[in-house]
Amino acid sequence: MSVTTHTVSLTLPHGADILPLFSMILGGIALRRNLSLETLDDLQLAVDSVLVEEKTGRRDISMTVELSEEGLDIRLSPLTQQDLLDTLVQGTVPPGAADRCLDVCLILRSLVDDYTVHDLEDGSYAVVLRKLTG
Amino acid sequence: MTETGSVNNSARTATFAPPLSAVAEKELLRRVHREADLPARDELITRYLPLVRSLARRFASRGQPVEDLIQVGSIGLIKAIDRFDIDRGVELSTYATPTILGEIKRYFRDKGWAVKVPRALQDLNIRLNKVIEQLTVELNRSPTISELAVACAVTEEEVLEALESGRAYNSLSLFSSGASDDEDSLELLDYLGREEPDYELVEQRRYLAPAMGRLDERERLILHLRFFEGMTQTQIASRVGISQMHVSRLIRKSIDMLRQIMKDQGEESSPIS
Repeated sequence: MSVTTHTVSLTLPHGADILPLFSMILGGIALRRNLSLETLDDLQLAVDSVLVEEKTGRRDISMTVELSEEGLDIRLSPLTQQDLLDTLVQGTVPPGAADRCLDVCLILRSLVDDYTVHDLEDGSYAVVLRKLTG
Repeated sequence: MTETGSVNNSARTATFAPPLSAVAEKELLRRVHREADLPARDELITRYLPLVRSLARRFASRGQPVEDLIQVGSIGLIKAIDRFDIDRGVELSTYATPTILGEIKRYFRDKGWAVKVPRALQDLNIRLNKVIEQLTVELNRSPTISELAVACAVTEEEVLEALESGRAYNSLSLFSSGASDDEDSLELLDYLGREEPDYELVEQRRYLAPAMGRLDERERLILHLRFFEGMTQTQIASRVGISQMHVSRLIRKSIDMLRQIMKDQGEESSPIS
């Protein structure tokens, strides 16, 4: 069985203003894939929920979307926010961070089918959000 | 003391509270700061909300719903009450005014890019809101962008642009019906169910954040249905009697509020330089 995969990638400077641009890209993908408005909204909120934690980061942020017949994988990197990493790895907000962190895991589980965290060589990490659309 | 709850409800009743005498105000402030008296604090918040309303209305022409500005200004008021030094000999209104204004201005600074949405896009956004609702009923599912474009007789790109600008503009206040800024019009929250038997469960389960307890009861309900019960936006919309687009905005807005509350708490607990 052949699986066709396409990749869309965008790298933007750090800062809060990047979020609408990533949302627009996701909107374009949703249009081409004929996704429902609600699916698009879920994807956008999932991406926002991860990237909003990087607002104060100082590195460019990349979003890479891999489109396959089953759905799409959205990879966000490089991320550096430690509280977010701890929360995603542990599956819940660590006790010491409860007063400053939203339970992003809970949000992501409602919005996407799966998410994974990947360590990068320079000490940062990537988050991959998977949404099945097939 | 960082309690910020009941801002929304207080904001709706504050108009009817008469002003305080200087003596009464001083006594309330004394109770707040010497005795950690929360009812006294609530009383001060309620009495000073007309000041917040007045200051918020100064910014009414700048593209953000006044009720949103009142909510933001209310956070400034609470900060002012909590930080007020009762030994300094100044009146609370003198101290609170710049704090409230600062909070509102910060809100505009954060939202600055969002208020430049062209009128045509705003209009399309409003049309989309209705069309999404109609198509969701007709199709029995959330519509696609192509379907929306056909229904609105615009291009798909225009639909995407309007949807994005609508989110950026964040035009619907929690206290707005979405159709009018008329204070007498039905508030969005009035459409939502008053009684929710399952609601108490929210308190006993895992929560998005401790600050969730400071959201309005109905905001918590929507977050609960989405993130704890796993309901889709369309299902929530049907349950509470509002459009899917409203649900989407309310979810985002509630999450933003949670983040803002936690951020404010973090700033308040940090040493003042």
